[in-house]
Amino acid sequence: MACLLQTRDDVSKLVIGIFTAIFKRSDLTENTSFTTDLGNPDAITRRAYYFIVKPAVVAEGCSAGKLSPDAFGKAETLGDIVDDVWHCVS
Amino acid sequence: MVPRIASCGVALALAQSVLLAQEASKPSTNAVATQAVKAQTKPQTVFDWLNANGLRFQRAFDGQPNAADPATVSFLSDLGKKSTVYDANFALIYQPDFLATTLGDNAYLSGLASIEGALTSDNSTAADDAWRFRLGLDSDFLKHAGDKHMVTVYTTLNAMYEADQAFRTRKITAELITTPSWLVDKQANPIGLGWDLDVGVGKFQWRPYFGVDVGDTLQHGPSAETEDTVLRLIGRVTARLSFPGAAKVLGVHDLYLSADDKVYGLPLETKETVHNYFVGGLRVEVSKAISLGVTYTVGADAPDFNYTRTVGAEFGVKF
Repeated sequence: MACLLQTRDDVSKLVIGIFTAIFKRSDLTENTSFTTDLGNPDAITRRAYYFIVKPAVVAEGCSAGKLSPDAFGKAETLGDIVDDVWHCVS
Repeated sequence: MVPRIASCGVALALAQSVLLAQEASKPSTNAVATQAVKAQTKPQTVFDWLNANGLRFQRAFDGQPNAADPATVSFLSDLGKKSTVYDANFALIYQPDFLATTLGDNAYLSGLASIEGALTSDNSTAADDAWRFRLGLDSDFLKHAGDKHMVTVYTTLNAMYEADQAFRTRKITAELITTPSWLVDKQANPIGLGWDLDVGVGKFQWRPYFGVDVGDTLQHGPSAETEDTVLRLIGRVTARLSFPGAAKVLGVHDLYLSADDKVYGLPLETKETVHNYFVGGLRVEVSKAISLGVTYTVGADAPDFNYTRTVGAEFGVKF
């Protein structure tokens, strides 16, 4: 299956959608901060989201081989994760 | 998108709610484009560039990925000897992407090399003078992913060459450090393990670590660890009480009280079988990379396990 995340907007919709579902909030954007908006999970906890986002990327037919927990640990905003996933699939 | 996501077993439980939420909150095309441009045009610092090339700089290795505590230069007053010492604590860690790989769907492994220094102007007083050189592996492991609870485990396993500042004590060990993460509904858990817990005066967060060092002594030096065979059982708890409101008023990145307590059990030793090492303080992160603080240290740390008690001021950098 060809990768269906063809644009950065596709990635943004997927990632924001995942975190919208997790946090049950409809106001999340790429500027949403883990620290100030999402309960401030520490870096090691944020790495856990790798195991949620990666299968969703793979389900879109994309290779997630370059995606790493480290990128999630470093992420300060949802936009950072969008960047990492887009970097991985593009 | 519905059938594709739903076809993935791991994401199955998530998919429906993702899509419902997506539809409910779908931003306009313009809004998404604006966010995309904003995200793509974020300024890149030298630190960001170094970070992107696999380098991290922080206080100690200690199983803390992603630069949890800053590397510091400190001016310390030794409360026991009534003297002043200058102290530097840093770890430079190289962990490039090309040394990383997945192991099935539930594990991620990453190779690393690091140099850690805890240096002092007077190593007869400071307990935490040390050199540590590591080659090893980091792993993130998805332990449990149920509907309600999700548990992951971060572990680092290293070959470590450890010495005191003057290389009088020298040891070579295998080091294992591990810490769990617990997500309830994939969000915060009720005890603040790795998450902020609102406690009225501020936000509280804590994390436990468990570790073991096994190895051999190459040279004993002045260490209180006298047996040739090294066996250390390590329990550690870090805690942080942050004050986001005060940080906002002061216009700084973060402001918090921190505590880091490490207990060593040395079952092979005949005299001193337990050591405790505590570092606590108040830290102001002026920016993401730069901080100022005051610290209080008491106890005895590897490899020499000399007891000390200091208080002082620090300047910190991390990336």
